[in-house]
Amino acid sequence: MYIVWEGKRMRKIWAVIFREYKMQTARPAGWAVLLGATLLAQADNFPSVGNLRRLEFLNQPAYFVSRIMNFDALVLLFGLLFLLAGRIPLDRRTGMKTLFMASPLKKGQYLAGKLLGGFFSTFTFLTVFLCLNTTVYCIAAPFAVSLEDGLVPLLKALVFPGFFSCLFVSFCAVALPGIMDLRFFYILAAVLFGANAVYVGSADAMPFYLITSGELARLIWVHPKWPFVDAGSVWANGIFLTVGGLVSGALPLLARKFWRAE
Amino acid sequence: MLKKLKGEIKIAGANFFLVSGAFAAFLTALAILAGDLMDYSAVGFEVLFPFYTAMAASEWGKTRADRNFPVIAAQSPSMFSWVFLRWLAIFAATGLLAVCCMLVSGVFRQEGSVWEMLLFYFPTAFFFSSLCALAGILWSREHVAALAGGLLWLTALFTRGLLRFPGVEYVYPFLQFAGDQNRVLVWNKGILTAAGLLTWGGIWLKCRKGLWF
Repeated sequence: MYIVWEGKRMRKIWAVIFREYKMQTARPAGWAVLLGATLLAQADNFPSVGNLRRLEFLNQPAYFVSRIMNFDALVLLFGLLFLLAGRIPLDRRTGMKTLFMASPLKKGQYLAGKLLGGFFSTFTFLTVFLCLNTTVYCIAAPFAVSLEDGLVPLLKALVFPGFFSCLFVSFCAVALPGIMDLRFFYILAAVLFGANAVYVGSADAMPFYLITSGELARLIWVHPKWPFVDAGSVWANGIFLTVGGLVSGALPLLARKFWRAE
Repeated sequence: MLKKLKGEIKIAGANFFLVSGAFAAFLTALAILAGDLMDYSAVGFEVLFPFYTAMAASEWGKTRADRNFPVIAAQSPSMFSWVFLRWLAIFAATGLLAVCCMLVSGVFRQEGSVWEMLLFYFPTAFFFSSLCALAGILWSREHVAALAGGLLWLTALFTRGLLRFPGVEYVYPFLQFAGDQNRVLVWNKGILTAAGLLTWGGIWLKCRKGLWF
């Protein structure tokens, strides 16, 4: 009995996740943002003679992956944040939320579906972005790049900053506009992303609030002059991204008005 | 005209004033709390406030994404004047708020005159918000204008390194923030204003063609 009930509950969540994922990945705007971020990444990091002369470590695939994760992935995530942020307000405005509320779907299931759907779509875009850029780098590099040299930093980037950054960005972008004004959320996000964009890296531990360029990103590549990684800062960065995302995701769940007819 | 502007402000709604007030309060708090190492006038009025103006112009000054757009497009004698007035109402309101913030921050920080801050703010805000107005008239999907403005803003923040190339300093939108080494700020702001005006030329052409659906 319990297993059947659990199965039904999971099916409902999966239905919302699938709908969200399909809606996000089918939007041309998301792919346009991906294309823009890719062009930006290639303009700055394409392994041309000029770029190899300008960037000392560009001949290392791990440096390339770390660099596009630090800068260009932030642009990608900022763009995706704008696209994700309108999901709950859109459901409210188009009457979809009322339909969901009328169906045997609970608030938690609706929210879990929305959050996970947003997370999976964001992670898909990031994965495509990283794979595409790394492939171009490996093909175009005027030196031999082994499969292992390209694949290991790529997997590290997807697991360490990638997973946590996507969790933070997608959960905040989906959940927070459900309980606050969408434009206010845009301003808050812009302040955080702006602070990330203007922060200049150094040999010291990076601030915990960095989204794609925090200490977690040092697990992909470390500067040969400063090869040490501060474990405490890595944890702080990871905890900030995870807890920040989960708390943001839980806020609409705690808001009683969220699941009431308007 | 003033009556129409008042009408547009009314359409923007109470949230516009609430969010604008919260943003102004944040900037004032930053002016009080930020240390001397921070170039507040550049951060506040060249980077943050123009972004806010662009967001406000694209979110509260919606044109094609407005739900009543088909009715307005069918009945309005001049689409351009409607688009311009809607944008102007938001731009003027946020500009007024920016001037108030400049005056307040002048009390707490002795970091250059209000005229300098006006030079940082108005051309940059005009450029970004005009681009958002253009995006708002080109695409009917909601938030696309904000997305375009936001991405351009973040990309510009990232590409400070491009200032090493000759000529980039004339078009880089955050020159004071990045460091105006060759003293070309007035030229830079003049070019940004011209680019904004050119954008309005594009909006005028689009409104004249009028192929909306």
